[in-house]
Amino acid sequence: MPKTYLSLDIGKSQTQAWLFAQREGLWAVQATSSVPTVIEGDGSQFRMGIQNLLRQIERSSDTRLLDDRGQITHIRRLEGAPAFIGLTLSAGKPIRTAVIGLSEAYSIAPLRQLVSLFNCEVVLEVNLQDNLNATAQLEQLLTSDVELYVIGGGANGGAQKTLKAAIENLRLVYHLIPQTIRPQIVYCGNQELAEYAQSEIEAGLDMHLASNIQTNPGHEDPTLVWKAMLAAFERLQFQRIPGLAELVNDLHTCVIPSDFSAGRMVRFLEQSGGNGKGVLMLRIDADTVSIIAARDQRLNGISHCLQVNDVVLDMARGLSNQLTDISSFATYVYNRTLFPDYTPATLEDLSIEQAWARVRIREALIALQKLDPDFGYNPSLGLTRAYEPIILSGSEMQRALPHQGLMIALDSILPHGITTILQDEQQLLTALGSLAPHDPLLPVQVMDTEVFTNLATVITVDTLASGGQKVLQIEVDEGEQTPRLFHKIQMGDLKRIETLLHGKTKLYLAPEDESDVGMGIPGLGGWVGVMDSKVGVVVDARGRPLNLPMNEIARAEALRNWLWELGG
Amino acid sequence: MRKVIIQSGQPVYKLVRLSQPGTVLVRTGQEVKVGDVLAEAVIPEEFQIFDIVNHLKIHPSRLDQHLKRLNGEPVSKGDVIAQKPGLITRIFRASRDGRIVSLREGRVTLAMGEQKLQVTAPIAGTVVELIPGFGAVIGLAGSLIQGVWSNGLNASGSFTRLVFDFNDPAQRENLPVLKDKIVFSGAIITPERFRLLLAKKPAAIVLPSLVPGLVKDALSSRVAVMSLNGFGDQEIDPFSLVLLEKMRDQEVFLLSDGIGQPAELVLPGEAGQNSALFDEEVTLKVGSLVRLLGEPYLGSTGRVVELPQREERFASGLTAKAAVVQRQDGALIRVPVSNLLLLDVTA
Repeated sequence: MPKTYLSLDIGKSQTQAWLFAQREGLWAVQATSSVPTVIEGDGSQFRMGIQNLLRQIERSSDTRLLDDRGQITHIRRLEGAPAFIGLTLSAGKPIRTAVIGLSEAYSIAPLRQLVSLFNCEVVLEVNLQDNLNATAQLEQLLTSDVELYVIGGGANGGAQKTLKAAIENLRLVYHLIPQTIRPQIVYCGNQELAEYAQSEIEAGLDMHLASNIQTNPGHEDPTLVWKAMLAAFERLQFQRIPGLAELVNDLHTCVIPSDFSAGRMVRFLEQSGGNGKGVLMLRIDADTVSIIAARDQRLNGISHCLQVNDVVLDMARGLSNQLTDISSFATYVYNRTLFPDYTPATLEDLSIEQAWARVRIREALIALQKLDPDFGYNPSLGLTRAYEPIILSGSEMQRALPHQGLMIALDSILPHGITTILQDEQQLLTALGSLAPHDPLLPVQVMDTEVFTNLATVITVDTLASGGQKVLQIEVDEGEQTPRLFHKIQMGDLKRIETLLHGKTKLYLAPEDESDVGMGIPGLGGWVGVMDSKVGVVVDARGRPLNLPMNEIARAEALRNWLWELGG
Repeated sequence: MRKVIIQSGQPVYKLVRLSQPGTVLVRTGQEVKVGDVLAEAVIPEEFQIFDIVNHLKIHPSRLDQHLKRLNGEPVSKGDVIAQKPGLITRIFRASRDGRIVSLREGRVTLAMGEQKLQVTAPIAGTVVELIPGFGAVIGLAGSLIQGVWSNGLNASGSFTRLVFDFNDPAQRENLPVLKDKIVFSGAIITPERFRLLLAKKPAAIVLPSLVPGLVKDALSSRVAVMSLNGFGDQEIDPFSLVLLEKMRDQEVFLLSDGIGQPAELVLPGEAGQNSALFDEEVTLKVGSLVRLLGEPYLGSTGRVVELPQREERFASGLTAKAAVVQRQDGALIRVPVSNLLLLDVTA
C-alpha cells in the first residue's frame, strides 16, 4: 500500500480534501473532493460534513479514513491511514485582534504585518508612546471585544514601565470581564518582561510567549512569533467552532490558517526561484481576496473583504464591458453579498461580476501596500516591483474562462516588465503548505508535475509614447520549419501571441528607444523563451495608468475589444 | 442549498443569548412574555486606576503603611483608600461605590458601579432549550415568512399592508396612521418615500426588496427594516402575499438575526401538522418551488420541472448545474441551480 498524506481545508463556503500518494517514489495527487462548509450549530453537522468528505475520498482511493461504521475515529487506530493529515481553516469571521506596542515603526507596524497572515482583523491598536493614561487604556481594552491580544515592543533590556502597565491592564481585562471566547495573549516584546507577563497575567494556556519580534533595533523578524500565533489561533478556533477540537484530536493533527499554509509555499517558491523576483499569490473568493507576497525572504499577506459603497460601485461600473445602469449594477452587487454562490448566467451579469472582482483585487492590493510599504503597488501605476510567478486561485478564477481570469488579473494588478501568470485550479498551495513540514519532498514533487495551469506570459511595455505610436517589434521563432512572424506593437495595444503546444516559443523583443519591456533599461531588448500556456504571450502596451476612454460607451467597447483579443 | 420558509402552523425557534457569559434566569418549559429577561450579566460600569506611589509620592517599600484598604474589599464613595500623612495630607478616596480589583506595583484599580447586560424575550413562547451561561431558545408555533435581509432591529406591532399611491401628489399628505405598526409596502420605496414613512413612526417597515439607494438609510434607521427578497425592484411572491393577508391587523413580530442578516415575520398561532421532530429536510427536486435570484427573472417564482444531470453552458459562457423551471406565467427557463432559492411553502 503506498504511503499517503491527506490535507483538509475548511474554507468559507467549501471544505476541500486532497489525498497525495507516493508511487514509485514520486508524490502525486490521488484524489480530491469537496463538501459545503457548515461550522454553525452544535458541531454535529460540522462533523457530518467532514465525515462525508472523508467518505468521498475513501471511495476514490484505497486509503482508510473512517471506521467500520463509517464514522470518524482516531486516525491512528486505522490501518492504512495517511501518515499525516494537514488541516487548514479560513471559515468564520476574522479574529478580532488588538496589537499593543511601544512605537508605530518598531512594534505596531510589524505586529500588524504579523497578524495579517493569521486571519485577524485589527480592531484596536495601543501605542504605548501615546501617553494614554492607564484608566483610558483599560477602557479601550475593555470595550473593543478583542479575542486576541498581541503585545510587542521594547528592545531586550530596554525600558519596562509602560509595558508593565499594559501587562497589568491585560491581566484585568483577562480576569475581570467574562467573555464568550476566552481571549488569547501572545507576548513578543522585551524578553526581560516575558516571565513577568506570564506570571502577572496568569492566563495559563491562553498565554503564548515568543521571542522578541524586534531582533535588533530597526529589524524585526515575524517568523519568531509564528509558533505562538499558531497556538493562539488554534485555541481560539476550538472555542469558535464546536466540534473542531474533537476533529483535530481524532485526526491527530493541528489546525493552521489557510493563508499561512499557502504562504509557506509562496515563500518556498520565492526562495527556490533564484530570479531575484518576488512571488505573488492571489486567491479571489466570493467574498474575500487573499494576497500573499514573498519577496527578499519576507512574507506578507492580507485577507481583504470589500464593503459595498457608492464609491467602489462607481469605480467597478467603470470597468464593466457592458453598459449597465447604476441601479442594476448596484442591485447585482448587493444581491451577490446575500447569495455569494450565484453564477453569472448572462453576459451582463458576467461583466458586472468580473468588474467587481477587478475592484476587489485592486482594493486588496492597496490594503497590502498600506500594510507593507515595500510591497510595490500603486493604484494607478500598478505593481511596480517584479513578481514572478503571479499565481491566481479561488472560486472567482475557477468559474472564469482562462482569458477572462487573466484579464481580471491584468486590469487590477497592472504588472510591469515580463512575468508569468499561473493558475492554481485545485487550490493546491494551501494543501501543500499544510504537509510541507512533514514531508518537504511532497510539495516539490507535486509542483514538478506541473499541477499549476500556465495561463500566460505577460510582457508589459512601459513607455511615454502617445497612442498609435510604435513601441515594440516582436519576432517570433517557432522553429526552423516555420517562417518567422513579426508583430508591430503600438501604444494602446493589447496583443496576444499564441505559443507552441508542448514546446518553447522564442520571441525577440525589439523595443523602441523609450520603451521599457523589463530588460533593465528602456530600449533594451533580447530573446525570451516562453512555455506553452492557455492564453499565450500577452503584450500589454496599454500604458500605466490604464488609459480608458471617458465616454462610457467607448470605454465598454475598449474593454470588450481587449477581452476579445485575449480569447473572445 | 439555501431556503426560506413561508408557511403557517410552523414551529418557530428564536435563540436569545448574551454576548458574554452571565446567568440564565429561566428554565426549560417556562412560558415567557415579550420583554421578560432571559439572562443577564453584571459587569462593572467603569474602572479607575490610580498610581499611589507616584501620585502620593510614597516610597514603594512603604506602600503597605499608607494603604487603608486591601485587594478585593468593597468600598463606598468617599472611602479613603490610601493616605500619606504630613504637613499636607495626601489622600486618595473612592469616587464611587465599588470594589478594589487590583493592587499591584503601587497601582490600585477600582471597579465602580455596576451595569446589567440583559437579553429579553422578543416574542412570547416556551423556553425549549437553555444555553448555559448565555441564554435560551424560545419556541412557539405560528405563521412564518422568512426574509433575506434586515437592519438588525426587532419589532412587534399590528400588521398593516400599505395601499398608497406615492406617485399621486394629491395623496402625498394623506399617508394613513402607521404609528407602532409593522407596515408592508409593495411600492418601490425611495429614500424620500422612506423618510415619509418614518415620519409616521411605524414599528417596522417590510419591503419585497430594497433599492440599493436605500441601504444606507435602512442601516442607520432606528425603525426595524426587513427585505423579503433582497435588493433591487422585486415583487412579492404569491405565497408570502397569502400569509401577509392572514397577518393583517394581527399582532406580528419581526425577529432579526442581526445587521445585514436575515429576519422573519412571525404571527403566533396554532401549531400545524408539522412537528420539528418529524420535519423532512426540504431539498431541491423536481416539483420544488423556487425563487429566481438573477436577471431577467429577479424575484419571480416557479416550479422545478427538470434537473438535468450534466452541467450546461449559459449565455455568459460559464457552465453550471442547471434546473428547468416553469415560471408562474407558464414559461420554461433554464437557470443555474446556484441561482435558485428554495421555497419551503408546503402547508
